[in-house]
Amino acid sequence: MALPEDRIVTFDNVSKFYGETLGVNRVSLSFEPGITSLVGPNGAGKTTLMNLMTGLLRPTRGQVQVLGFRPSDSENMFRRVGYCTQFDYFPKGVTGHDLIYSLLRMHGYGRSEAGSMTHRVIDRVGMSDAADRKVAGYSKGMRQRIKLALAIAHEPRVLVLDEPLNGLDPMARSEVIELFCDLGRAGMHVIISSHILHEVDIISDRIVMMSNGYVVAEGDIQGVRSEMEDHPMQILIRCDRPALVASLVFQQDSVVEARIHKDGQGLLVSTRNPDQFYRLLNRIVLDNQLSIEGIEPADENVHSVYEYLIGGSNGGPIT
Amino acid sequence: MNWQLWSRQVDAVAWVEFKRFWLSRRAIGIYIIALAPNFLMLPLLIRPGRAGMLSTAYAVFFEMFWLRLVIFFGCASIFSQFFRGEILQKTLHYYLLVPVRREIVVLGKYLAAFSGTAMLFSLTTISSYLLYWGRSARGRDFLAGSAGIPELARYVAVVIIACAAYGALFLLLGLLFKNPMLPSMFVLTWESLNYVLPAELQRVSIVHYLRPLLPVILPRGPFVILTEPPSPLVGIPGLMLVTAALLVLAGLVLRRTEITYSAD
Ligand SMILES: Nc1ncnc2c1ncn2[C@@H]1O[C@H](COP(=O)(O)OP(=O)(O)OP(=O)(O)O)[C@@H](O)[C@H]1O
Ligand SMILES: [Mg+2]
Repeated sequence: MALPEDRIVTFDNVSKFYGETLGVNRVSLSFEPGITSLVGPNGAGKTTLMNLMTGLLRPTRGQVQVLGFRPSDSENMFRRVGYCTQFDYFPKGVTGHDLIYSLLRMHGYGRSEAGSMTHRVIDRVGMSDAADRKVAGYSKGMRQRIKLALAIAHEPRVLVLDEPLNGLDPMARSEVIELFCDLGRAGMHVIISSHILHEVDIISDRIVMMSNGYVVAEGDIQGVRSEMEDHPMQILIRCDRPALVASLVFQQDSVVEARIHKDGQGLLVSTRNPDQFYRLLNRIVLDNQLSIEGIEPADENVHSVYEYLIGGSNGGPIT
Repeated sequence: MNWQLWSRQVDAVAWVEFKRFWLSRRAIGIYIIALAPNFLMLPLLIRPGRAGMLSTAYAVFFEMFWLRLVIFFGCASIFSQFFRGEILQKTLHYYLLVPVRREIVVLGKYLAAFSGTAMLFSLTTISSYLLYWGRSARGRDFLAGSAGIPELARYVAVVIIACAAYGALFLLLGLLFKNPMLPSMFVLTWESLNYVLPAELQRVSIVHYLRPLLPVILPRGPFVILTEPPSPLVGIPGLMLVTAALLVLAGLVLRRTEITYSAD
C-alpha cells in the first residue's frame, strides 16, 4: 500500500557530482516511517545522500522530497526534520546548552519555551552534568550526544543521523539505539548511516546498501542478504574472438550472461561462480590459442562490499 | 507572509552573532584599530598649536586616513568574516539546518556586524573629533558655536552610512571568495582611483556618493575628471538602495550555497 506523499521521503533518480567526482548516482528510493539504515563503506555516498535530503547539497540531477517538501524550503523542512551531521565542528567558545538554546531561539521559540526544551533534551541524551561546559572540552562521545540532542530538540518527524554511533561506548550505544527504536516505533522516520551492517541490522526495518555512489541492494535484512548473495559477478574479458569465447563459456551453469562488448574487442560475462569460471576460461584460451589482452572484474565493488559488510564468519570489519 | 516570526528569527540570529563576534578574542584587534584616531590625536594634545586648528586638517585626516583606510579595512575584515569564518571553521551548516530562510540568516548576520561596527566607529569618530577641537580654547569655542556639533553629526552620519554600504559589500565578498582580501584590495583601488575614471564608472562606487555628504569637501588631485557630485538627496537613498541590493544578492548566493567542506 503506497503512503501519501506527505508521509514519505523520496529520491527520484538523483545524482550528485562534485565537479568530476561522483557522489551518488541515479538513486531512486522512498523511505517510509520506521528505521532505515544506509550501510556502506567509506566513500559509498551515505553523507552525500543525507546532505541532499537536507538541502546542504543540491542534486546535479533528479529531485528529492521530504514529506512533500523540497529540501530548499528550509522553513517548512526543518520544523519536521532534524539532522545529526557527521561534521564534528562547533562554534568557538560555545557550551552545549548555549548551542542548543540559541538554535531553538532561531526556530522562533520564546525564551522560556526554548529554555525548557533545551533542558529536557539535554537530560534525554544524558548530558545534564556537562551542558554548561564548553563543547571544545568534550570527548568525542559527548560531542556526539550534543549533536544528537540538537537534532531531536524540536521533536522532528524525520530524523537523519550520520554515523550516530561513532565514538559512543557500548553503554551509550545501547542507550542511543534504544532511543532510536522508541522514535521509530512512535511513527517517526529514523534514517541512520553506518558502515557496519551488524551494528544496525537488528534494529532496522529497512536497509539500503550503498557502494561507490550506487544503491546496490535495498529492502529488509533477509532480502538484502539474499540479493547480495545472488548478485552475479561481472567480468570483462578483452580478447580477439569474443563471439567464440561467448559460445564456449555458456557450457557453465553458473554463467548467467555473456555479452559482446560494443567495440567487438571483448565480452562481458556475468557469473555466480568466478573461481570456476576462471578455470574454464584458462582451458578455453589454451584449447583455442586465443590472445587475451586483459581480464578484469567489471563491478568488483559489489562483491567486495558484500565481503566487507556481510562476509566473514565472526562479525564485521575492523574499523 | 509571517513577518512576526521572521523578525523574531532575525533578532535571534543577530543577537547570537553579535555576542559571538563582538565578545570574542577575534574582536580585540578591531577595537585596537578603531582606537587608532585617538592615538593619532595624542601628539596634538601634547603640542597644541602645531597643526592648524582648521576644519580642513580634520577633514584630510577623516577622509584620507579614517574613512579610506580604517573604516574601509575595518568593514572588510569584520563583515567578510561573518560567512567566510563560518565556512573556514566548518560551522555554517548549523544555520542551514534550522527552519529559517537563508535570507534571514544573511540579514541577522548583517545586523550583528553592522550594529557593532557602526557603534564602535561612531564612538571613536566622536572621541577623535572632540580630542581634536577640545585641546585649545579656540577649538572649544568652535565646538560650542553653531558649526561644531552639526559638523560632527555629519561625520558620524557618513561613518554609519559607510559601514552600512561597505558592510553589505564585504558580507557578500566573504560569501563568494575563499580569500576576501584580494577582492577587497581591488575594491580599495577602485574606490581610491575612482575620480580619474569616466563619469559613468564613477557612479559605480560607494565613495562617489559618500563624498558629497562630508561637511568639508577636499579638492582632488591633478587628474580629476570632473563630474557633477550627486546631491545628498540622491546619495543617501542611492546608497541605501545599493546596500539593500547587495544584501538581496547575498541572500541569493547563500540560497545557492552548498556545504562541501569535509567531515574530517
Ligand atoms: N566536498 C567534496 N568534494 C569532492 N568529492 C566529495 C566531496 N564530498 C564527498 N565527495 C566524494 O563523494 C563520494 C561519497 O562521499 P560520502 O562522504 O558521501 O561517503 P560516505 O559514505 O559518507 O563515506 P564515510 O563513511 O567516509 O563517511 C566519495 O567518493 C567522496 O570522495
Ligand atoms: Mg559519511
